[in-house]
Amino acid sequence: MDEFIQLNGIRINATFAEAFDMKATRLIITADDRQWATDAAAAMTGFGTSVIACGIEIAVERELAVDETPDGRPGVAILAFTVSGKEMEKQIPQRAGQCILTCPTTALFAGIEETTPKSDKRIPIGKSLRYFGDGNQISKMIGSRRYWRIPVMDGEFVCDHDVSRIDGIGGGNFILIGNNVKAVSTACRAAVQAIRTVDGVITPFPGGVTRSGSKVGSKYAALFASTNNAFCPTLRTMDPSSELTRDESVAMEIVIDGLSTAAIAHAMRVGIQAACDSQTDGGLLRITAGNYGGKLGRHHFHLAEILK
Amino acid sequence: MNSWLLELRQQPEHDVDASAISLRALAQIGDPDQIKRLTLRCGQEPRPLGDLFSVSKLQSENELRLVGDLTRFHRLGIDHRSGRITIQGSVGNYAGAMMSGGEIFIAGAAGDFLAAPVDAFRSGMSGGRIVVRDAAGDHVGHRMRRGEIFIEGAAGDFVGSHQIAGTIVVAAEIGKSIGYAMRRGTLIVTEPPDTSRTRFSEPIEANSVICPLLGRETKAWATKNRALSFACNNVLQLVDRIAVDGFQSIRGDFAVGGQGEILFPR
Repeated sequence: MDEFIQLNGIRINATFAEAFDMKATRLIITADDRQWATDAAAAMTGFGTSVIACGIEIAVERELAVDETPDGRPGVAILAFTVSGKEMEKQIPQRAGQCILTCPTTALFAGIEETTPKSDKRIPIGKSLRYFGDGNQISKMIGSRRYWRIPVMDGEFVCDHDVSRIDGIGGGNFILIGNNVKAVSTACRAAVQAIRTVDGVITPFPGGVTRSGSKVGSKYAALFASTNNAFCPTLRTMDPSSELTRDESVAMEIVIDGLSTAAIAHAMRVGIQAACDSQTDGGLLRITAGNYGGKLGRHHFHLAEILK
Repeated sequence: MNSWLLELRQQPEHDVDASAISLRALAQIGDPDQIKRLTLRCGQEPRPLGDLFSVSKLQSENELRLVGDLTRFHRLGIDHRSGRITIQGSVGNYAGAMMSGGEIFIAGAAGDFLAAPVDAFRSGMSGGRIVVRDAAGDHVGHRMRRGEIFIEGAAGDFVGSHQIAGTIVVAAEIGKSIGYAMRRGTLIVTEPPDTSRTRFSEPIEANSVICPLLGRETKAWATKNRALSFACNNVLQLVDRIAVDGFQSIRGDFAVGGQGEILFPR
């Protein structure tokens, strides 16, 4: 905690965020109008903040204009991350079936560009959902892509047969520390807004921010994660592992999952910059990052290097 | 993968079985004289290919280009699997028979049984794409089970007969008995077809994003191959029209428990 650089008078600890390999994919939701597309995306990405209990980290990457979607309608791109391919194969069809298939006028497409030869790591979409058609579903090959057309009450639900799974990275992060909730909230919101302009990353927690950052393990055997004592202000005076100083009373964390190290590093850079540029009236004091000493994740994002 | 240009030098006196003119076989041959020695069955007589065609090499990759009026040449592109066959002229019957991949572009007209199975085979086209710039004869896409056939002009009777899957678009008039015994698959035509009400449903108004998907993919493909004159403007216009304005859909053929669809503009 001793070494730091300064950005707009805010201390940036010379530490690093430790991130892990994950499995990732991108899906594109389209609909007749933007309202339905965003409603479907909101449902699909619900309860998808952390793999710890949700099984998946999933959020909107960005909104897509009509000329960016496969069918020329308004759309939303979402990114999903899991710890295993098997979990992804379970989560995506379940969520697509309950959240996209159910939403009026929507269609669901693969958002990962196909390689040649085609990747054999596939996540089913229509491959699973087609059975809802009860024998009335229609498979349609257009070019090299197989779509499914499932009769539903507003016409047809159209979706890709499957989507390829790629390697992703989860757990890029930085922690904003200040002396009041309003200031840290303001800084977090500025950071998340800046990060949302970056392609290939998501911030899966509510509003892109979590106040319950976790450490690995627990005194309770059944739990493999528990509260991050080091950044809990109420434990500062009684926990020797606390990393907070006397004037630091609030900490919030922004977790970033991304499709590449470059995307996460870029997102961290613009996020930290935006937080430091935000109007917090001196309430934002310090930015640091969460790690486990470099022993668990192979991706290390050093704040000092990122901000160079 | 060698590419070859075959230019017709003289019209044959009889119909020709052109099965031997296969891109898959020709792409493995490096010597034009070897190609000229290939035997074609002309009527009941075998005849060297070199008697009918001049042969020269092309610079492109995995392509066979034929030039001339080939209406007496049947089974051209039979069992085609990959690469591009371009025919600058018209072709006879069974062009693209049982093809399973690649592209065939016919700059003129096609005869009967385009992409259909030959002899005692029961499966027609199972992949790839055929574009016919002019008209096509009867039984287009007979027993088709995958792939796309785009006819810029008119088509004869029994379009999509016994079709199992795949897409056929005919951008001008069609003959009688469209979709006869079709089980699945999509036929897109310009006008309401004259179908039996006992075998096909009443038309219903519908909309589906599958039409814009087909239109966009076809447009992208046509644009990519513009230099090779793979244009299919009439087909694109028709698909665009039903994508934007919606379409009417007829389902059948109920006589065989079919769920095929015939789409046409509202």
